Amino acid sequence: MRKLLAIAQAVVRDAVRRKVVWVVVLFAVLLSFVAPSLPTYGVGVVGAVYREIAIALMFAASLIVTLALAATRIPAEVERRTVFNVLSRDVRRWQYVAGTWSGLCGVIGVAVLAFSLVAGIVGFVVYQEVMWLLLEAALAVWLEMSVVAALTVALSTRFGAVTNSAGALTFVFVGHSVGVLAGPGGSLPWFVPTLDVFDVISAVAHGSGYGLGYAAAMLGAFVAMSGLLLVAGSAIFGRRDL
Amino acid sequence: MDARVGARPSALLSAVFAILLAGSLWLAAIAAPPTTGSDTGGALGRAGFAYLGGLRTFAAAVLWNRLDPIFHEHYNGVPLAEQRFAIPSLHLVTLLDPQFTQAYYLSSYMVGRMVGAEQGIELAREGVRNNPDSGLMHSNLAQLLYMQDKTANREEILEHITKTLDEKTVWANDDERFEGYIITARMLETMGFPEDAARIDAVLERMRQAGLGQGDHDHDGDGVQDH
Repeated sequence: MRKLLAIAQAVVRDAVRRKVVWVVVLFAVLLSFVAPSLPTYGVGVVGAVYREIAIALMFAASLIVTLALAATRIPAEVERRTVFNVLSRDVRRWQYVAGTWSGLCGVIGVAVLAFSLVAGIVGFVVYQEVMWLLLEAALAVWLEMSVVAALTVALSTRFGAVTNSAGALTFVFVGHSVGVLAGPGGSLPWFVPTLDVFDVISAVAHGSGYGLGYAAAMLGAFVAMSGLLLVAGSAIFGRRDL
Repeated sequence: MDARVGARPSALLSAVFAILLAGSLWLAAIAAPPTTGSDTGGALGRAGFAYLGGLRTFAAAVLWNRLDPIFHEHYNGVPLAEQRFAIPSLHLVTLLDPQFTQAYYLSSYMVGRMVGAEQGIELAREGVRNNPDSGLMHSNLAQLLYMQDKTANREEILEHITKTLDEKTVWANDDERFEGYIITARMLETMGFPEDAARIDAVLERMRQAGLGQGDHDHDGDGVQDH
């Protein structure tokens, strides 16, 4: 566990050095301009629409952060041969993969929290409404991005940054549109895994959020999906001749 | 140093995670709040065909499909004229795909009620400009002009009613044509054309006997109207 944490901390320090925080600033600027600029025929932008846009922007911004960090971490370390510094200290390859992913989850979590705080502040200033539900959306986004990070890390044990990014984007797109396989009704059987389990935009923006049962379901899906992807990534990395 | 992860621990871990995933998906299915991902997944699936028509058309279809479950879940029972949340999305749909007549149809009515009749009519005119052969757009504009002032707008109303009834006019489907004809018949009746209204009613009766006129509120595709 100590080795995992040490690797994770290194990932976090690296992310700070790469100034991921600027993405948060960009997000804040975008949000401040986008919502009031929507074409509304003079009807105005209601709070529900603002929340929907804020969550969508949060999703897009955190996806950028996830891909920027996860797609390049391991390939860069292997190319620069700095991975040997870590592996030579009695760190198993699966620990390296899991530790890298853990660090990425930490960075993504902080970024998503920052996005939601910015969105909440802007929402409070414009609508005089405390939008606590944005934190529920932030949790869902963080869990989904952590799964995407797990896939990207798994791919990065074998491929370069471009392939990893393309693979991750394909995963996100397919994960949210696999409903096409269900036919006209658009309703898949419950046991078909998709990323839609993390899509709570409408429930948070227009409804009253989700309950503890659903939160537990998302948490379980996150652990299971990430675990499966990390097991695969560890197996691939373990067999790779560095 | 053996760098490989043992095969047996990997298989065992994978089995555990697979069981956990199945349990989580089951829990998500029973605990899901209204309008969660499954609806979005299906909506994206239904819009998937539009991807072939270009990114703009795809984006418009995705935006439109996201509105549908929100209308019927979170805002069920709320009058259309009070659903302000939909206006930005509807406007974006028409910007992305000016041939998306349903978006003009809804938004012109909603803007007309929320903002003002003239603004709604202007939006309906834009729908006609972008879709000059659409029966829905002509009947929609005629209806809004009628609601504003059937006497002052008489000439223009009759012009668009004529285009609505033209055989070359295009409709998305027979149900849409049916709805357009009903509105047209009632307008003609109150504007002093009872014989023309009766002729349209005869056509409508034949359409009813053919099974039309129930509308399409079968949103889950099981062959039964949902509401």
